Amino acid sequence: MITIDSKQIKLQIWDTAGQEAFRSITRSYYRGAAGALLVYDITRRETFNHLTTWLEDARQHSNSNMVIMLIGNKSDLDSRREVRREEGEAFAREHGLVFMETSAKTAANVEEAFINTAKEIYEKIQEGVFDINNEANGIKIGPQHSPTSPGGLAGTGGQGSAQGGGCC
Amino acid sequence: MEYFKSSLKSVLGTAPAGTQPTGADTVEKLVDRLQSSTLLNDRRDACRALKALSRTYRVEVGAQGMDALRQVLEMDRTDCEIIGLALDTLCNITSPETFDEEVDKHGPKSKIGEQFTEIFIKHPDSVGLILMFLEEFDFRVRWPALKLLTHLLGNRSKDIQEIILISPMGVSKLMDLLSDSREVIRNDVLLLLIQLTKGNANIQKIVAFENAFDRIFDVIDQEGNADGGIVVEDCLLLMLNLLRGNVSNQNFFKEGSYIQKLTPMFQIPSEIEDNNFGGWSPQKVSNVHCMVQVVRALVAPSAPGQAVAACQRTMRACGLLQALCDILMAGGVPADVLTETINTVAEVIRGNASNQEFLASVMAPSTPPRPAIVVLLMSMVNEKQPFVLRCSVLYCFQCFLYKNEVGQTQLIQTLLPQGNEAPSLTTGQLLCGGLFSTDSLSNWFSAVALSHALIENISQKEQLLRVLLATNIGKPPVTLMQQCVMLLQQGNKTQCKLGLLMLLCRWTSYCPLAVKSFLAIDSSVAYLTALLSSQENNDDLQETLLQSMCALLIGICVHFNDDSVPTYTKEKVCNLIENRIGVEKFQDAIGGIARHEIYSRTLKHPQPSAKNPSELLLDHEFCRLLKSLEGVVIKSIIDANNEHQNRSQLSMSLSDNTLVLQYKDLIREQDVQIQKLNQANDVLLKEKQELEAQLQELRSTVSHLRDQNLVLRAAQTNIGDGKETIASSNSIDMEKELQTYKTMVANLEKRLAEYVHVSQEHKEKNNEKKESELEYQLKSKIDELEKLKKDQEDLLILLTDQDSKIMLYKERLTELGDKVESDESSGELDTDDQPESSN
Repeated sequence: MITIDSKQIKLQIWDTAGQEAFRSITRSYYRGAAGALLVYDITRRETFNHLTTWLEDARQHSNSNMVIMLIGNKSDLDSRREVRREEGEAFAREHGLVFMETSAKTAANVEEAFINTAKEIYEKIQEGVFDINNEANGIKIGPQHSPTSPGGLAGTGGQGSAQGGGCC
Repeated sequence: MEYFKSSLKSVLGTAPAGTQPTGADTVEKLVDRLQSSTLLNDRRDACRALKALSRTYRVEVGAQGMDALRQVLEMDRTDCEIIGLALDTLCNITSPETFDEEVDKHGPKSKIGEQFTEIFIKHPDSVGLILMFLEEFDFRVRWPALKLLTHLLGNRSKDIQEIILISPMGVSKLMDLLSDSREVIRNDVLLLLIQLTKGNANIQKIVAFENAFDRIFDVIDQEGNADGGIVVEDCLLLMLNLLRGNVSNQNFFKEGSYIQKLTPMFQIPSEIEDNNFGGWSPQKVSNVHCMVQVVRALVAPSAPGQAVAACQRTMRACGLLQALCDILMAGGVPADVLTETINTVAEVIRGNASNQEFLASVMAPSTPPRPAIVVLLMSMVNEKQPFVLRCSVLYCFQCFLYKNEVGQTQLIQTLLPQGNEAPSLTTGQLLCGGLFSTDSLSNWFSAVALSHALIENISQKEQLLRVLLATNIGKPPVTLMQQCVMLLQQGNKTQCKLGLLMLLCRWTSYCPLAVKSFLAIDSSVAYLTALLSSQENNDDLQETLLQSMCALLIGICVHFNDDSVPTYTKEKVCNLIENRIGVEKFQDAIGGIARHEIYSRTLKHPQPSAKNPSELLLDHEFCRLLKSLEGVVIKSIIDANNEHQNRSQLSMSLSDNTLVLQYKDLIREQDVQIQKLNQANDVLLKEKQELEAQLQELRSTVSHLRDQNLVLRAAQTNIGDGKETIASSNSIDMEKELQTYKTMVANLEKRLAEYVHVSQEHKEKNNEKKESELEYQLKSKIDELEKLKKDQEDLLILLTDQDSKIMLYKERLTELGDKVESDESSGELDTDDQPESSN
């Protein structure tokens, strides 16, 4: 439960498998998700290299309005960094994503990552991009609210590109 | 059938009279037409005919037509009719059932459907095609596609699960069908989803992600909740599949506030209570069964504790627990529903203090009103109640006491003598009654229930020791433990004995006071050892269990023995085991229980797993106790035995031991002495060095004096011609020197005396060799000193000689007419001759 703009928003977060073998399973989660966190490991270059295919997958199978965040995880391991922050930023700019570096170990920026995703979605709702009455978007109006106020956000497909541990 | 024949005719034309074509021939022709016809209508007709034949000539149609049918699915996808027919035909071919028409050909249990399924899914796109047809709204396509998929899944569920999982949006397409307005589709997709989610956590998760819970609750609502038909049951079965063992979905269920949606389903309308004769419909019984299973899936003891606790809290808060308890206390509830509800209540309260408290406060609507727990226990010790119901009450009561110190205390409290006699029936009284009833099952239930009041609660174990039972008038009351031991010895029903032994094991474990009480009871140990040593090691299950428990109990009596019963100290009980039973046999006996399947089964789940009364032998918590104590107890006994053996060797050298101690003291004393002597020796050495230095000094003085003597003598010869002044001055010098020597000698003598004294002292102190050396040195020094003295005397003589010479010279000087300036001994006459060599 988080509060944005004095509105209570309940995030439903789904952790999908990041391994290549489960890519097809992950596809099942794109539909019905309002947002996704695309996570790579800053200490492993190959996870960054795979982003393009994951992003294509996500764009192809999801609602075109789905908010996608690009997350460089394990920022605590700066000494073993293989992907520079600037590279992540550049990739995000190029593909129109929001970028952040996080550390699941120290919890740095983790909550912010989800909150920012929620904010983006909230803004899109305000702009009328998302139809809140269509549950296929992954957005449900909470029971205690009047119909005009946006409620729960269902289905944030957090997904780590071939990343072993410690996310979501 | 008429239609069937006419359609055949229309397709094949009129068959030549007299020659009846075989089924295989017909099928071949039809397949050929299906593949080669250019007109859609012809193909459609062929397909329709194949469909008609596919039941009777299933093998033929399947073997020859499979490829043609798939080809239709790919090529003619725009024509719903032919697609529908093709799908129907495939449905028939792959059906898991055996059609009545073919029974005579293949027997009732052919696996034709499965084999054709295998062939069909060998082609990689087959399942994808069917999933695609699910999106077609036309009923003629969607429904058979759904049925075909259901058949395929029924035949090869693992394979189809994997294929659907990796098909793009496969699960999602199926989920969409749940909102199909045509009930038959919705209901069939429910059945399909139940099969699809069986044992595949990934699919379960995706189904849940696709809003399954909302959709299921919608359907349940449409269908009339608990009173609804079989569709409600299907919904609940699907929900159960999604939740059972799937922590992620359980979490989602709780977080999504779906537990709250369960509550209304359990709220049984009150009119049914008033209207008992109506009873429950079988469907309602099934529905409620599924509902409680859903609840139990969320609070299963095997699930992670934190998640369970959260669900338990929610269930209490949203009134679900209340609703369940209402069912417990309602009239007219079928026994099996009641049993399952009791089991559910058990798991909803298990280990959750506030939920346990809630159950304790529930009152039954009886006259007089009694606590629900008392009413439940009454059923447990009532022979007439169904066995499974009694088991469920035990489970509920165990869960009520699980980690519930307050509940445990309250139970034991009801057994202790009260100030004012409470007229109402209490839990404790019921259990005691059950313990001493003639029904061995009641004995077992009561003993186990009572043992759960003692789990991890030493103070209640000690409290229970205080419980006294009134016997016949005129005889003194006996303690509960005495009564238990007596029952154990007198009884002849194994089930009762097992119950009592489990109670006694629990009671005595970790509680030396209880061990003491047990050992103090006449013949308690004797009975156990007799039981353990008498048997003829047959493979009888009950006998093995009995022996295991006896062994454990004796073991506990060793391990937790504080030696306060003189006849049965730790050592004595150990001796008893060694001599009467044998340690190895004891070990065998205690471990014997683990060899039986019933042990591992009981250990797996806290709920009693017995199906019938004779199987009810072991309790889950007891098995855990045995598991945790087995090793400790055996180690304790082996250690005690080893100690005992060692002690026999040790006792012989006991006097030696004191001697050793004495010697040690002695050595310690001598050590100190040596140190002291060493110090004294050091001091003496130093003194010796000092003395030597002084000696050196003296020697040098002596040689110095000698030199002076020589000088004087030379001067004397020089003075021979008479030089008084020099002589007189000389004599004064001499006198002065003499004085100093005298004092020096006196000093030396004094010191010598001191040293002699010191050396004497040392002689007394120290008997070492160095002493004698020192003495020797001292002697030599004394000799030297004496020599020196002699020299001194010689010198003195010399001095007097010189004095007399000086006198002589003076006289001569006076004779010569000179005046002597100062003279002390002018009249002194030296009579001695001049000694030329005094030394």
